[in-house]
Amino acid sequence: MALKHAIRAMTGLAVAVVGTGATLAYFEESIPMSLNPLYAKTMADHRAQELIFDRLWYNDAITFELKSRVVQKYQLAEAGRAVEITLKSGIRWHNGQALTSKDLCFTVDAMLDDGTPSPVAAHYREFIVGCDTKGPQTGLIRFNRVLPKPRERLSFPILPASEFDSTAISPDLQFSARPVGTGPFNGKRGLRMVTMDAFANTHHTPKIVQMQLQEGGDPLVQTKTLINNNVQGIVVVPPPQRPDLRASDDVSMKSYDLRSWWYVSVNTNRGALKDKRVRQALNMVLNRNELRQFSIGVKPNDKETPCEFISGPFIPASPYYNGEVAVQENSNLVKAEALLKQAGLEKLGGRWHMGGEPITLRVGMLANLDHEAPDLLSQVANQLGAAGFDRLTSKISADEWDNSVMAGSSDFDLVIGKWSFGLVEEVNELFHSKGRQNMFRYASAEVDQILGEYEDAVTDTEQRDAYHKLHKHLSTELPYLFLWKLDTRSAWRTEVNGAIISAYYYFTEIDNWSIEG
Amino acid sequence: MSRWLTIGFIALQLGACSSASDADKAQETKRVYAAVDGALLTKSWPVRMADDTLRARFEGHPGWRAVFEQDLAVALPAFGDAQDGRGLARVHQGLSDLYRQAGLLTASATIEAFDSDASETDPLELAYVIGVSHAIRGDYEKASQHLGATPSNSVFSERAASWTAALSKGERIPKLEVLSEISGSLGEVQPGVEPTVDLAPDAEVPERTEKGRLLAITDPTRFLTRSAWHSAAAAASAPPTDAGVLDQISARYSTAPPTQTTHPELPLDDAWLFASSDLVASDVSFIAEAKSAGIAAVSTWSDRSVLAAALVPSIKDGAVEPQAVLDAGLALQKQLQAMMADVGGGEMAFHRPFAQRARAAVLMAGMIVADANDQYRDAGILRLNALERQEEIGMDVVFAISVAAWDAGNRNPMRPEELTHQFKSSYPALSATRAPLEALHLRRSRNAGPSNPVH
Repeated sequence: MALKHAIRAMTGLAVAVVGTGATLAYFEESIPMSLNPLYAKTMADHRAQELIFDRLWYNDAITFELKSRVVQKYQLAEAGRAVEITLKSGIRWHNGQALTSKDLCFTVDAMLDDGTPSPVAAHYREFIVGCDTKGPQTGLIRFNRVLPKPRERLSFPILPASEFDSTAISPDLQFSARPVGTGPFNGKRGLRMVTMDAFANTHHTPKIVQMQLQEGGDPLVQTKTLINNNVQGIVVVPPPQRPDLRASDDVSMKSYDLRSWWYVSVNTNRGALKDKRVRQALNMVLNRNELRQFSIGVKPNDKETPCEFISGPFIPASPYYNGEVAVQENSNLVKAEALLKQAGLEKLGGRWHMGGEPITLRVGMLANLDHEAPDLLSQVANQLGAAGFDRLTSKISADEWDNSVMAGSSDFDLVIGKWSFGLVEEVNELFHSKGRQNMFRYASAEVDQILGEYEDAVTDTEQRDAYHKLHKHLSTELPYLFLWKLDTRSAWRTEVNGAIISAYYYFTEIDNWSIEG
Repeated sequence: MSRWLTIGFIALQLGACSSASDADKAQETKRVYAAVDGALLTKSWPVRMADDTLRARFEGHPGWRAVFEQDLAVALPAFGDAQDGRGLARVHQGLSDLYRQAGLLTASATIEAFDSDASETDPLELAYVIGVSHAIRGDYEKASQHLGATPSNSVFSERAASWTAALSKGERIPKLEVLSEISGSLGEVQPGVEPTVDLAPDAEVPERTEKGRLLAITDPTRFLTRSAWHSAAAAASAPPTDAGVLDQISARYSTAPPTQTTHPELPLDDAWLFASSDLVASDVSFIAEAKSAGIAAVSTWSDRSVLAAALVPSIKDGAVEPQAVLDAGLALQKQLQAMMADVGGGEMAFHRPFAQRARAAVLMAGMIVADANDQYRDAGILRLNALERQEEIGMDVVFAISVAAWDAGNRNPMRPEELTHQFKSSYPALSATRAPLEALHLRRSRNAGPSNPVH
């Protein structure tokens, strides 16, 4: 049986290799931390997983139409509290086994299993209560209430039951590095590269034989490498590199709909930073115009800037952004000093002290962000230094970020980061006292109450008003110092045909990509 | 302004430095990229404007500089002051197209948010804006149905009656006088100015919940009124000899259901073409005809229209091939650059941006043909590629908002939010699109699959 599956798997690869494809090498922001869709933590994770797995339903990258590559038919059941799904026959996993309803229900059961510590799964537990197989290809997913448009919510990738011993799936399984999916590529993660080999299937016919995901280093080197055709694409092109690439007829700049905003998160449980007046003072110390100019290369009066300041946890075009909350563009050191003195700090010898001890701020930044916003860490540190704070800076590796900062066990005072969103821009996990992504365990009863209003909202207006209220409240509480939103642009060589980029997930339409010549 | 001056300055430098070897390279390039018959291409504005004497008319004029930079808001007063009738008419027509597309955007977002995703808590007054939205999208039966459902005691009851009366007379979109009565007068039509913008919503009505939160409602009629006002201003500004030109030019962004008509080739002054997506006069006629005739228009016009000629190799088995259109666009850009170098005596810095506009124009033409040929998704691919190409050279606000309107019709609120946000400081009237787009976003978001913030 295993031999039969292995032969089938090999055949899938062979069909792709015999095709007219070629290898497509590209630079990513970072090597994915996990290829298991239950544990996607970075956009690089999401983008790579899109190549390896099929989501139950997805939106067409062009028309936004809701589609599925794996569902043959579906119907609502149990008066709208369930949906019966029949999967297409003939779809094979990368290990050669057939996709069946057992896999569908295994995926649901894994997400419902408390032993699966997945933040993504936790959200599905809020409305899915179970799954029953009704035949080899048919499964019934049950909800805890009537959902108005259940298909739109069922966008999770399907996992292979055969690859797991239990529905309790932990993030450290081998599957996270060598996953098995039904997607167009069969991927494995190495230390410096992820290679993904085409896997022809009844529902996927990739024209590219192999995808090579490489970690992008120095942006200038990435740009030169692309222009010299040693790679074919860069997923995230920092603003300073864009003019060079736009000047080349061999490269096309591509839009990528991703809602990203940058921040300095403040450890509200440490020393002077517990006092919100100190946090407000730090907000006044930052000269965002200078940070943006020296790091992103955008001057204060530039038109059509890819980088726009924000005063809260949403991008300005979002319905949730409260336009009445002013942006702090420039520093106001006089006001900052007054606030610090009100908070009981003393300035001795040009340095701020608390209780007779000089204040030293430990500032960190996720290391790979230095490519997109070069020198931002040192620019922030310089501004803090000029305002009278001693500081220690360090770049944080992806592992340290995940294991220490996000786990709430780091000893940083300030960390610089970026959050990215798609259509759903929920920030509850960042600011709720029990939020799974609340990195410094910021706790505020008032914020929790506002987030409760958001959760309990009956109408869209109530929900939007709750987030407007949150935005306003956070602008004075300042668990984060909000910096800017930054547009994301990719660059692909013109030899890459059909390069349609899907919002958020990026490679949804990879089957249509090909390389000329 | 600085970019324009830089172009001129660099052009002089490069022109002076061009050499025989440069000319050889240009010849070589020309051989490789022969996309369109050279004789036809010499009539295109990019090639003709490579000639200093022909370009001189547009250089140094603040209105034309703003047109080159796709900035209609700046161009309007500049032409008003300079009393350049054609320039002024072109800008007013552009603004008319812009607000017509903004009306379509508002209509589509309104229908998708409040009709397709209707909620039992929605205020009943929404029936009016849903009705108007259906009228804008050409579904007059649904329009009448919803307009008729507007509560008689509603803030919109009089507006609903006016729309119903207009539709019953067979007026698909009412005239300026009627529109002004419905959404409020913008004042006497006065070329060279933008009428005052009222940023307040058309109404705020309570939701049918215990809390009764106020829902801001935008009546799409306000955009139709503004569009009709600018259309009248364009007609008042253009020389009498150009009366038919405006009709043909406005066909590109018309929201009316296309009707099968043939279009004559009109003699056009360069003022209608310079820095536009029509490379020769026949392109205007071709685009107007392609809106309804699709592929048939390509063969009809390929001997006169550069855009039609560029598209010929992209038509295979009765369909538009998007990748072939993309290739044709790049080929035309290269061919134009080579020809401009010949005309101008060497490569100059402004050649590439001029030729890049032509490249985007080919994609937009392919999009129009594909749309008329019922290739909805293929047209979408070309639409989004054209938008990306425009990002490199300065985005045409009318085209950008037309893409936003198309997206809203596809229930995608994200790109429209970004695009309208980008342009609302230059065109404050666009701010009124926010309310229905917000509603669409919020409703889609509430029904979407869960996701977490990621870094």
